[in-house]
Amino acid sequence: MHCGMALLALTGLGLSGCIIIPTPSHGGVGVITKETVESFEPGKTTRADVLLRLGDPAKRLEEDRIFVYQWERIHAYVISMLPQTNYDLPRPHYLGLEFASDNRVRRVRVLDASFTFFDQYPKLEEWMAEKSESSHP
Amino acid sequence: MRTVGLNIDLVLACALFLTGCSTVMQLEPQLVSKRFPFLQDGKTAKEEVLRRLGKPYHGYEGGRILTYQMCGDTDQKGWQGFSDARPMDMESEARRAADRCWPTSPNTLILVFGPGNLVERHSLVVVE
Repeated sequence: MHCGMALLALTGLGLSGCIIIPTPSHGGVGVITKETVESFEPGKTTRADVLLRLGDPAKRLEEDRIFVYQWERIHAYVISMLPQTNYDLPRPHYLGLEFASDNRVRRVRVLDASFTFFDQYPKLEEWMAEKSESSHP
Repeated sequence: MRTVGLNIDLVLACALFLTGCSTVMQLEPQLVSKRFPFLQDGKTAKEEVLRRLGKPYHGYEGGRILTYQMCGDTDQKGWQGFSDARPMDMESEARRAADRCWPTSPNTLILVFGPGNLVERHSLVVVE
């Protein structure tokens, strides 16, 4: 179904005289680097360490048991035949952190956006659900 | 047609080359001290922080961790200080802070309190 919708969207764009050119992810604002993410060690890094490093999360869930950070990077350009209508296509990236009852990081998950029309947040929600099951056996 | 193809390649190459990337990073501790001289780990009390900076933007772990979102005040010489980014009356706090700080991103001052409600650790997170 997703493929069909993507095809429809692409066809629509094609017919309207636009083309989408995927690129390697680049640019963006408030990007959280791979090095920063790798510095968070489950069982060791605390909630305070994360906040001191990244500031307030975009979302605080389940009484701060989960933090979600979000940033965007450009993954494609939309190029139109009309002048001055070209623009970049940013996609959201997510960092999910789950904390244990001792306020230390339990799990870390990064969702890099691939070239897709669909937000990756549902995948993060799936990850949260997995974590909830493991937390409450 | 070949010219069009070449132009698209050129536009993309330029875009990839010219597009900057701003990352989330901690400001050097000495620069934080310069901007907030009253903040000293192990010395500054929460009471003083609240008196000087007002109500925090967010609190965590029962108030052990407080955060303040602030706008970088810029002039031709660069950042000179920070102003309160607390919101007026709009839909979300993050959105309000961002709007308030536009065109720059809001920066976050994070304060972790230890025994005796004294600042134990602090940092300023900036988007640069």
